[in-house]
Amino acid sequence: MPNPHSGRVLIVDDESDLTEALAIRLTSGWGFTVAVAHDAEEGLRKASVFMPEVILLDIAMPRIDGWEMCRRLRDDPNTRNIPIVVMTAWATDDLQRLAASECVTKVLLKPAEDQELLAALKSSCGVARPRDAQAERGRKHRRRSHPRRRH
Amino acid sequence: MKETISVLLIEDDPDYTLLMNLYINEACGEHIKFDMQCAVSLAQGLDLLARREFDIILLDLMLPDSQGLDTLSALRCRAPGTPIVVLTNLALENTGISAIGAGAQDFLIKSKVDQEQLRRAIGYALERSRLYGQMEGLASSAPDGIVIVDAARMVRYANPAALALLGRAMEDVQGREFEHPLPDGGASGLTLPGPDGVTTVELRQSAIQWRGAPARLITLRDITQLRKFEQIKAEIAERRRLDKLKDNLLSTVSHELRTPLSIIKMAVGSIRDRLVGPLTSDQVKMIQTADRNISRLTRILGNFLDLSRLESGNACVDLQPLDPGELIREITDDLRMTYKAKHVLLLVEAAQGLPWVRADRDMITQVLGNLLDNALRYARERVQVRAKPAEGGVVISVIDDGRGIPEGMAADLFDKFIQLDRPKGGAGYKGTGLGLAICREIMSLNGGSIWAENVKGWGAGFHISLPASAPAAAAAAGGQRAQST
Repeated sequence: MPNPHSGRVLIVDDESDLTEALAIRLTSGWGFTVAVAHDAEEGLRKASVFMPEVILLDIAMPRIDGWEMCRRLRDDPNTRNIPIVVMTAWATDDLQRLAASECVTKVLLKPAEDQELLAALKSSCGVARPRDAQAERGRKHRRRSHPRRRH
Repeated sequence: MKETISVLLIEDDPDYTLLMNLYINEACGEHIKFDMQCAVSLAQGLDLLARREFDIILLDLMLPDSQGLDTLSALRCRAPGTPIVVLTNLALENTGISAIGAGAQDFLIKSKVDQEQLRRAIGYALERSRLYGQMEGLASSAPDGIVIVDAARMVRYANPAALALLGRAMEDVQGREFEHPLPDGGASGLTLPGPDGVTTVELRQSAIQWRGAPARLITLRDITQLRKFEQIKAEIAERRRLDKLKDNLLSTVSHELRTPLSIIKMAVGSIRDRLVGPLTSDQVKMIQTADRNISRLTRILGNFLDLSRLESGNACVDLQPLDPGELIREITDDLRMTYKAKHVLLLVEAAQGLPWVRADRDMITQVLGNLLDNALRYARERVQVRAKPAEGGVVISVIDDGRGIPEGMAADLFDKFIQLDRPKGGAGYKGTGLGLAICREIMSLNGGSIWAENVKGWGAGFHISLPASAPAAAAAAGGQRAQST
């Protein structure tokens, strides 16, 4: 069992079954404090009120997709520094490129491994200025990691 | 060989006929011979023309049954392509000039005709005949069918290609009406019985002058092969469309499966980790089985998507110069802990100074990872990775000391859903049956190859060949590497 963590995580995903299962895993399993939103509008509202340390974000959502939500989070001075972990079912060819351009901290492919998810959330919690880490990420991306090949 | 020029003289004055016969005989030389037939009236002349063709007609305009230019018109109607030389009296010189305007090639003043003049006039006919022969030769050897019909659609000429396409002999068509409808404009298609079933013929027509009269040139082109080719092209396009549809469907279904799979995995994980309550030992066993199979399903899904992407031709291949020795060290270093945990020794034997190869690093890492993963499943104590220079590049081998590949199976291993008997029973790692199929696709995209065989003193050996990078590229990359270390 991983060590309990006290970070605040906002889960944004339109699949309520998934958010429910994730919430149990993150709270009871890993000790995070969790808020849940089922679309981007709700996610944006909750982000500025709940002030999470990391946002776990789905991409394919109705009306406003995950990438657009990333952009809106970055446009708001209150939320622009919150690290974002993307968790998506669609492993498209341009996934890594889009993630890099939207300053996403980490991209996970559904279904993510527990260890992988925990590591992504833990490393994001407490990171004050994710934009400073952009150069570091840029170096990582040059090695072209493909999440689709990890499964 | 002497060439024979056939001459028709239409003249009612027997003395003049005699004179002309004399001249003609004198004009015959070493290479040329004249064959002259005489008619005393227009009716007799027309009768002769109906029975045979002449190379030239010598015509007196004043005949018992026809006078003046009407005589000329009557003859031109019957033999439109045959040149006519008009014979006139000195008093009627103007009529001769009018005759030229009405289609005669030349005129001779009867009282002034001599042997030389006659020879010149007939020479013209000879030249015309030769030119016609050339044209005929061209048309005969043309691969397309050529048919000439007159204004009444009667066939005046058909070349051998046309006769072959129409399946007719010359005597069946010449002088008869063309039996197929002519295209109104542009082209029309015609289906004819051919040697291999049905022959599709494209018909085109254009207006021409044939022997001085308006006619139609019909070309016939065999487009059976072209049609077949177009049909095959359409079939290929359709197959591609269906393949794309299949790829899209596969991709969509696979992606759609990921979300519910994610939910099940998360929920099962929470039960397994007792986040929602305590479990009996049987429940733990069951939930572990479920968990293991969720991972298996996830692997299958990932492999499925990988393979469909590779097979669709949409995969991006980033070919770069690579140091094969360094690549092997990197991969084996990453796997050393996994091998240690299973008490299998991982040996590396890379030749010194291996040439650099040109390949997609991530793809080759995936292939070698897969081969090393397989080797670990089958090995008893040891697995060896070898790298040797080979013709045109490098061969990297992954060899285990397991029981080897069953006889006759080595080539089938790379087909989809082929798995060897699992050495560790039902509870052990289960493959997806797609790993080696993916490896084969990747190697093909990298311009290399993959094959398997049993290795003496060992078990199964899997080999991949990679093409050497261009020397300049290798040197450049080598230089960069030297600077960065």
